[in-house]
Amino acid sequence: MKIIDAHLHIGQPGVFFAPQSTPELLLAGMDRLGFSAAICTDHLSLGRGCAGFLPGLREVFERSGGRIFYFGVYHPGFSDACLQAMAEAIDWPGFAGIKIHPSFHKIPADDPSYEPVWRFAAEHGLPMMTHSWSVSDYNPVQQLSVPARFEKYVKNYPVVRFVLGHVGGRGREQADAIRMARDYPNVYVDIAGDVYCYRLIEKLAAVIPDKVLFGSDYPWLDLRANFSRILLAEIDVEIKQRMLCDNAQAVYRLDI
Amino acid sequence: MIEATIDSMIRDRQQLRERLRFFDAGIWLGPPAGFPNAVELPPAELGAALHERGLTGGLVSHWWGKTVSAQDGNRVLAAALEGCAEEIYLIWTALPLLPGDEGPLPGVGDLPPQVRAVRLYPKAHNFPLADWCVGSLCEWLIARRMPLFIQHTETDWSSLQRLASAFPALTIVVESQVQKILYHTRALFPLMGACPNVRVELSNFAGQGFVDYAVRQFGAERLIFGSFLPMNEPLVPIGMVLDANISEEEKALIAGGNLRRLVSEVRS
Repeated sequence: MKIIDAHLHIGQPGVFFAPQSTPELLLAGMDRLGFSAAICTDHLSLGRGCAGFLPGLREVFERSGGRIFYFGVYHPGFSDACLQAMAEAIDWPGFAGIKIHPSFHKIPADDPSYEPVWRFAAEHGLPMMTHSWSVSDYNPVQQLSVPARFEKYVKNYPVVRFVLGHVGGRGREQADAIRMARDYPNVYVDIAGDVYCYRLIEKLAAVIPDKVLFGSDYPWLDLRANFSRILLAEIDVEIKQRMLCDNAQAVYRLDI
Repeated sequence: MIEATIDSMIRDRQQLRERLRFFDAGIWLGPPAGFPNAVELPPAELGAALHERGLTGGLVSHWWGKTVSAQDGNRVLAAALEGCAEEIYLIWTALPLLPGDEGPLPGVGDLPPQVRAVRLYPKAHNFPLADWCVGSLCEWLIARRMPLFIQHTETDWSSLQRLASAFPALTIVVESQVQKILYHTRALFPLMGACPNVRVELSNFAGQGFVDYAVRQFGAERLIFGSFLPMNEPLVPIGMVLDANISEEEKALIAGGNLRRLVSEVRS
């Protein structure tokens, strides 16, 4: 059984105290819990996209013994540089797919400036993962990443395996993320982040058992928080295995 | 095919959870405010909900204490749990002691015996968390060895520090709700270092390694298990305790030992 943490970060986040954020501490935590692999975004790439940062992530992957895979971050404001960097990295060991973050980049997910990356993913058979969240009173940029904003691209690019990170957040728009994962064969959700809604795992298991990926959001959140949440949920053990292992492999097809 | 590993991971955690006897400071009745996906927990279903998640009991609060009034929240909470067979106690909503304020309130008339803590909402109820305003309430709480709960979003860190320093005999439990406390740990941890009477509740104390770090820096007795049920999934803080890189004795304190001790020390 190969447990995959499909959504985490490496590096100091800056906006809070993070006593554990390095790849080395991540590996130690993975070892204690029995995780085989993880897929990371580095905080440096989030700023202006992945150009210039993918070689460092490849090095992390190699130092980790092939266990910490990485995303290439696409920033629509630096489209050409991001796509060029990812074109070079497609065959590199550890390159797992593309990440977008409309809220962080302050460009709505349905903006035409995302068209090039969807086309790129389709042409190269790459999966995509996005930050998705609900409308928030105290964090208004989250409305740029509500699940429904991704829907036109999901429809237009059915060959792109697409993961709505954070299941669309804790608010009403979470229902859209679940609906999209149910209705579109290419849409999945991961449970990374503090989407700690009571009995959410049971709900997801009932509706989309083959579309749910385990993720922690390390170091923002603890590797352990969502892990036991799945292990101890009142669902069939076979579905737990799908959430922890098989569904992530269906999307990312990691060489582990 | 299910591999044996996952069965073993599940079994180990179930057994440890049972041994640790989780006792929950964050159980809520009433209509949740600000959590659109949360469904109100009927009092009649409380016992089953706790049992399903491996919780042995705990302290119950009512949303009306925040969203309607302290008095209405206290009244409905006491009525909802009257005669409850579970290991259940109450957190009553308090206000600054002010002659003429009607009860039921801490400091106004007798408390039901199940009340073992109080909570203040300075922002929601429009008063400062300052010595000159809540000092007499703090003295009242100290005389009864009754802890004060406060959500971190209901005050500011400097006010908390001044209050904790002014009343070192008062146990203050800083709750990690109703938004992530993650972004405030550069204030929370110095506060815990400076004020031994401050403790932290765990439901959203979820940053990577926070439990291990807080135990090393401040001691396991400073962490109080809370779930924030039914807004939050109890298995999240349970998982952080089960898999923490600390001793089983420390886990037992965090899971329930610390809170049981606070509850048992209250003088009615």
